[in-house]
Amino acid sequence: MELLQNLGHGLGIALSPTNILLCFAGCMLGTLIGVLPGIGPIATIAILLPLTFGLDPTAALIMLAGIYYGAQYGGSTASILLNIPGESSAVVTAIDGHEMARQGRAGIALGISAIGSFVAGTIATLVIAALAAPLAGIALIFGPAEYFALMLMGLAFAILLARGSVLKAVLMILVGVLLSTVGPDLTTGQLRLTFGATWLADGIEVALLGMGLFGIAEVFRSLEHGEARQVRETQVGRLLPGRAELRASAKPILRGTLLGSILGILPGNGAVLAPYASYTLEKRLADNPRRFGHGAIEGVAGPESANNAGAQTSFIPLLTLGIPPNAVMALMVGAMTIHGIVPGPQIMTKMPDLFWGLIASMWVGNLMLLVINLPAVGLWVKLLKVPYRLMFVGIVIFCCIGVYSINNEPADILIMGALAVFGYGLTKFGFEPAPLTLGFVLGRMMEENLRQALMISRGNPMTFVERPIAAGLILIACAMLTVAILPVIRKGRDEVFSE
Amino acid sequence: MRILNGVIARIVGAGIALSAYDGVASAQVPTYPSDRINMTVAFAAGGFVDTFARIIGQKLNEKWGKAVTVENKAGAGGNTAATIVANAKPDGLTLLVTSTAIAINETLYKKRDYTLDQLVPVAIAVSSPETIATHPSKPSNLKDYLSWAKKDEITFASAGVGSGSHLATEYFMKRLAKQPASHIPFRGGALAVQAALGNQVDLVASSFGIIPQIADGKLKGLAVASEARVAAMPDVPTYTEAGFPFVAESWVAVIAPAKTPPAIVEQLNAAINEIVNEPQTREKLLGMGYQLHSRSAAQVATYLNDEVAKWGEMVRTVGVTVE
Repeated sequence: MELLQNLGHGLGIALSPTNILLCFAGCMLGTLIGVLPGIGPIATIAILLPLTFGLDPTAALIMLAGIYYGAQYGGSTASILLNIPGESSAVVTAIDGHEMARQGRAGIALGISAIGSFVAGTIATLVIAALAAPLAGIALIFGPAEYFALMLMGLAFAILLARGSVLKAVLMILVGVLLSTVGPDLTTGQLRLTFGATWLADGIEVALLGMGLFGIAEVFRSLEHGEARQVRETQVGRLLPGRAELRASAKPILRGTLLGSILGILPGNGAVLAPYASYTLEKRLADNPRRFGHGAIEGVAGPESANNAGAQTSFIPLLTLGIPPNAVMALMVGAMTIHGIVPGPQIMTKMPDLFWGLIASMWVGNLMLLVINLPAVGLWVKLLKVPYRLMFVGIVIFCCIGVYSINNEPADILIMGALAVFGYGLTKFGFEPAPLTLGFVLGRMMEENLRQALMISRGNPMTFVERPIAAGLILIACAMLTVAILPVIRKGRDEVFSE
Repeated sequence: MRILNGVIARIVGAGIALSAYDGVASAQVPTYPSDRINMTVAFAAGGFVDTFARIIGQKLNEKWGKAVTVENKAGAGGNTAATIVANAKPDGLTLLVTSTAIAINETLYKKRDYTLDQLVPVAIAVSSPETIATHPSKPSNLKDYLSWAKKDEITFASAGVGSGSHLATEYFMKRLAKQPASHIPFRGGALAVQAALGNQVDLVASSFGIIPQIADGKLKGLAVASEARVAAMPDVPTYTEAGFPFVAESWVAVIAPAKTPPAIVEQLNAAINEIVNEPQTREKLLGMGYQLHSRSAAQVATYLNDEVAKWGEMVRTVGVTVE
């Protein structure tokens, strides 16, 4: 009852004319920058921060939060239509989403990702409203040992994620882990694998990997095959998912929402795992896993919902503990401090207007995004009719601008170019870039948490066995690896390279 | 417009010069700023250095009617941004906004692409003391804590190797408390605070980032390394009160290329001090746990020199270097 009262109170604030307008502006802007490859919510929020000085803090945060989850919506549009994932979460959506677009089912893919995101956003909002405080306490049980075990489990996902050969997937993961070790060592501060180049001194941004390995490499592939290959120009099919597709997606959406809501709570950026976990789960549960990678709608519905739920619940560590789980949330801390709000445990009790207003606005924002995005699907799909000779120029330019906007570092554009050539080579030899990206995202966190856990336990590896959650996660990882590798061993070499 | 702005800046500037300092004649440059001011921030968007730069940038824009852009050039512990500004045109239109790192890096980094001689500090107006805190299940004052630890090695978390929090705390443990402590570096202060909230480590060292948790009782503050207690957490004693005289503060500095005309440095110094002391900004900064300082440009230069020496001593005692 108190929950409903609080939410009602929040809705009262979120539905004031100014706040609705700002929420709409944020969602709209977020969608736009999400669609534009590379120009992510971080750059946008940083640039807009000073403009919010004059606003009331609640209104400012409502708008900035709108940009954040709006960008999550928009990001999937770019990965589905053009195979340009601007961040690691969208990589998963691109796998089956872009395949659907190629088959002329772009509208359905976009529609299901909008609907899935809305359902996930609605449920996650309720989760935050009802359980934020107790959940935050549970998240604190996660120490370095548990995070290490979680990341290990994530890498096991990466192997299951692969379409083809297990061996190739493992190699790709290792390359990803290797790339993640470029930059300063956490425990000594010494630079690793930079070969004395200052532009490598802080490692490689994940957005470069996404845009290089996927986006630009995709441009190479398309140009190689000429425009004839592009289904884009011919027909785009139905615009919205039909009843059968909705039915097929319902359970993946709910499972994805659950996974995303749980992983999003972890302050150590557990949300990055959510879409990968959801994809793996759906692939395992499917009657015919071979459809995955060839335009399976569950492979879009599940991860998209997981991603949006995770994006939403990652506000929990920020609002209840004052701990920002990722770079965007760190910016929200900056925004709060500029407005004189100290993010932390006291927000919920001392500033109920802000807390409940923001939460209610998330739901309002998700509704707006659905309303903005569903009619826009037709518009986006029309974009595919733009002749590819014009389109690829635009893609390349926007990727360059996007990459430059991250660190204002010209060398990043060259790195992206090199990665694109590498990514093109990979697909030529039948390697997939998706496991590489996950290896990259998890590699650094895994290494750092491993070393922290061992430093805390004074070098005793038993810490991973003695701590029940860590031990449980490592067991699951081992079980998944066995599932992935057993058929390979049993069926002999012939089957090794095609799962 | 340009002339009018110049006149206003001159009048405002003169007013500050009279009220803030005793007898520092502050010559104004009527043509400054002639164009857009670019603030190069040495750290990523969202941190306090960045937030401070954006607050100052906005207010300078209101004051002088010229655009102020904030550009984040994070990298190499702040050295990337420092190198850019060290080599920039000394016209007061390119400014570096950085932290204690610029003093620490003098000793920490073996190789840098700039020297401190290429830069001149403009203003160091806000600071936050290095603070140590622990989980509420552990002894809640420094003396009890140290006798509880009984010279067994304890673990402490910080924002990373070579961060002010790491150096100050390890220096304190080694030199003053003679308490064995092993440093657990995290990527950023927030994750270090999280480890302490979850009781994963014995202690967390941080500056302003820890105040909300202490204020709310989720963590117990053991000591703050400043001369006086911090208004936002009045119950936490200073190290000196706890029996260990020790001051180590984290600050934000605005810095210009060395050859920038002294008059422009003075003008910027006056403007920034004025902004920080505007009632609204002042209240905000104090509420966040910052301590405010009105220092003239000359005082800032002396302060920076002292800080380089002080942090240098801590870096050598702890024994870390970055190649």
